[in-house]
Parts: sequence; structure tokens; C-alpha cells
Amino acid sequence: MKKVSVYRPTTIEEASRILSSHGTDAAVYAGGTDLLVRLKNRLAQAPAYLVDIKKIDNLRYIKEDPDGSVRVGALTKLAEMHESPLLAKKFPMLVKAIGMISSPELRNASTIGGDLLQEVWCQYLRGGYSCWRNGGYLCYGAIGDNSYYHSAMGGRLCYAVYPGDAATALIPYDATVTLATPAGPKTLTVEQLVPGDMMVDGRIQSHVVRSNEILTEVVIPAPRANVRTSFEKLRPRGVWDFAMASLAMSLAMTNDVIDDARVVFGGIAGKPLRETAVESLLKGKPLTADLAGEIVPQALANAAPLKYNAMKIEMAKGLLASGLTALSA
Amino acid sequence: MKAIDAVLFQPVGVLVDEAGEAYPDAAAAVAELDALGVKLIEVSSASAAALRDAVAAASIDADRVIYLTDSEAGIRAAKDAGVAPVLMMNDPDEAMRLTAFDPAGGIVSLIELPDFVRFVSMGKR
Repeated sequence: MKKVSVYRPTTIEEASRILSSHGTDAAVYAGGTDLLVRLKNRLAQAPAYLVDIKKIDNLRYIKEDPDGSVRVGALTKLAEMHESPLLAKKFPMLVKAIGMISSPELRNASTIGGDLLQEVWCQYLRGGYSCWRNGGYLCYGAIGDNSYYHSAMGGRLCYAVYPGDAATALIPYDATVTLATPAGPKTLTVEQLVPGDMMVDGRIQSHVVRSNEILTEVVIPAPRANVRTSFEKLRPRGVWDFAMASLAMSLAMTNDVIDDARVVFGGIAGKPLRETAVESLLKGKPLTADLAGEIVPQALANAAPLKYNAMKIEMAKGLLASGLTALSA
Repeated sequence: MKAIDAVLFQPVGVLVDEAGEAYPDAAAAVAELDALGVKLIEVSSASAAALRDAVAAASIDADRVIYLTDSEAGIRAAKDAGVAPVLMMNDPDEAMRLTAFDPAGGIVSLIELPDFVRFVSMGKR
């Protein structure tokens, strides 16, 4: 593992100053379950300076606001979110998704901030190939074994899929995040936070957080009345593994008619993929047992699978069918 | 890799398929490259001489030029001519084999090339 120096600031302002002084050579260190593996894998973009933010007060909480929204501090452990009665009551689909992230051991260490901003798990990147995220100008996943970690919905130079489940599950709730930046706090939707492979500060990454910015909080608006939600995930094993395909869905209902819909696929694209075409199709439709048969064939019409991953699209469509069927029951 | 001023290519495998049918995304990519000020220069063969001639005729610096190729001969010709070989990864298995010849980069489709040019120009680390 490359040699690193560790800072332990006690305020966001101090952390921000340190990050600004080191640029892309520094990175925020919280749970470490992603960052330390990036270091062990000797990725070209791995930092030399770790800014350990665990000594900063007031970044680890789950609390409800008077308007019914819930704020989750960026240092909150995934296990704490999974065990939160408040989240279970208000956002059961999110809690289910978090319970399917990796393993209990890792959920005890991983933070929600780190989960949202994690690096992709392409085996070529992790194996030291000189790819787009590792100092090169070529995606080996596009031409090699792309059965698991790569997009079936096209790419933009890097074809790795965004691996996180929490972002996929937060988008249907219209959640936002707050970033501490040198210019003051900045708010983004989760969808804006992880738009897929982007050039940020001279690096390709899945999220838009700059090297001198710190994700401090996730805000989930109060759930609307009469909303039905579901989260399903297909993976090679029941624990540890990332999604081959996942689906987070919310349907806002008036009586038995769908007023509004959020349909977000994970594990099949470089970002949590909102399938807005399906969302439009669902609006105004009665939620019946027959609905899946009408909607599913029209889903993911823009699929562009690589040589070995067409089954991801079939998996995703299967999740849509089972999700709609379950919610109509 | 330095910022890219020009792209050398042969049409088959880049703009059109073996049957001469235009790739559906080629026209949009060409227009976007044109807007970026990147010259697109067709070459007559995958030889170092043809690539050198094209660079000389266009009065451009060879080290700011890429050559799109899907062959081992093309990679070698580009290196001999002092331009950067960039793989057109039309066939995944063949493209993976050709990575052993150390191309400067690779794209799956021409529609990626404008982003490729931008990212290189932005000085990706």
C-alpha cells in the first residue's frame, strides 16, 4: 500500500482548508471501506493525504425535522441507518436497500457519505490496468470481461457501473445532499450528485464532488401519503456482492391509480438510472396485476449491452415485473 | 498525450462499416469534432508514409495528432510516424489483443471521440 499521511481536523472548516491545500492528492477518510481498498489496490487516483473527518462533531446523526423530513449526517454508519426505527417507519425501501449492501461487518464500518461517493469496482481498474480512471485513455471493461461490473446502457469512455445501492434507493425519495465547499454549503439532488463518469478536477469519477468539498448531510423529504415503494437486488451471492441489477421504485397513488412514479435501476449503468420513459408510462395507469405485462416490454429501450452483459437488461426487466406485481398485490 | 488538433482515419471501421453503410452516430460526432476545432483528415492507407504525408500536408504537429485504427499494422504505422495510435474497438476480442501493442488510447464508437478529445485536452491525471 502506498505511504500516506493522515490529518485529523476537528472542524469542517479545517478539513476544507487541508483539502484545498493538497488538491487531488488528498481525500476525505471516514469509514475507509472504499478508500483504504483503493490504496491497497494502488490506484493511480488514490490519495497521498487522508483527511480523517471522524473527529469532527455533529456529522453522525439521524434526526427528524418538524416538517417531517429526515437528516442523516454523512458519518452515520450504514448499520445505524439499517437499525433506525425512524427510517424504518418513514423510508422502509431505503432501509431494505441498505440492509442488502455488502455484509454486516462492512455496514458497521461504512458511512452513508462514503457509500454514495464510492469508486467503481471494475476488475481492470482494481487490477492495475491503465484505464480511464487509472491514468490511461482506454476502457478495458468495454472489450474484456464485462459480465458483472460494466454498463449495459452504453458508456462515455469509462463503462464501469456505479456500484452503490444507497443512491439508487434515495433517488425515488427525491433526497438531496449538502456539500461543504470553500464558497459555502451547496445542495444537490442525489441524482445530480452521481451523474456517471465525469471529469472533475482532472479526474474521471462517478460523482461531482470536487477535491476540496465534503459531503456533510443527506436530507430525505417527508414521504408523501399513499406512496408504495419497493427495492430488489440481484447479485451472485446473498451477501457481499454488488448488484448485477437492482431496482428502487416508488409509486404515488390516488385510490388505485398511479399519480407519480420513480423508477431507478442500479447496477446496469454508470449512474443510478432513472427510467423516465417508464415513469411516464406508469402515470395515470391503474396499478393492477396486468400492468407489468404492458410496461415491462417497453422498458430500457435504449439498452446497449456489451458482449457479455445482455443478461443485465433481462434481470432489470425481471425486477421491474416483480416490483410492479408485488406493489399491485 | 498532448492536446489533440487533428484525427487521421480511414473511413471503413470509423465512419462506415465494411459494406459502406454509415454508422448512425458518425455524423453527429463529426459535427461535434468540427465544433471543437479538431481537423478530421482521411488517409489513403495504414502506412507510416501516408500518415506522415497527411501530417505534413496539414502543417500540424505530429505529437498533437491521433490515428484511429483497428489493426496491429495501424498501431505500428502510427508509432513510426510519430502520431498517437488510438484503437477503434470495433471487435472486442481483437481490440483486447491489440492492447498488447500499447496503443495510446481507445474508443468504442466515434461518438466518444469528442469527449476523448476534451478529456485529453483538460489534462486528465
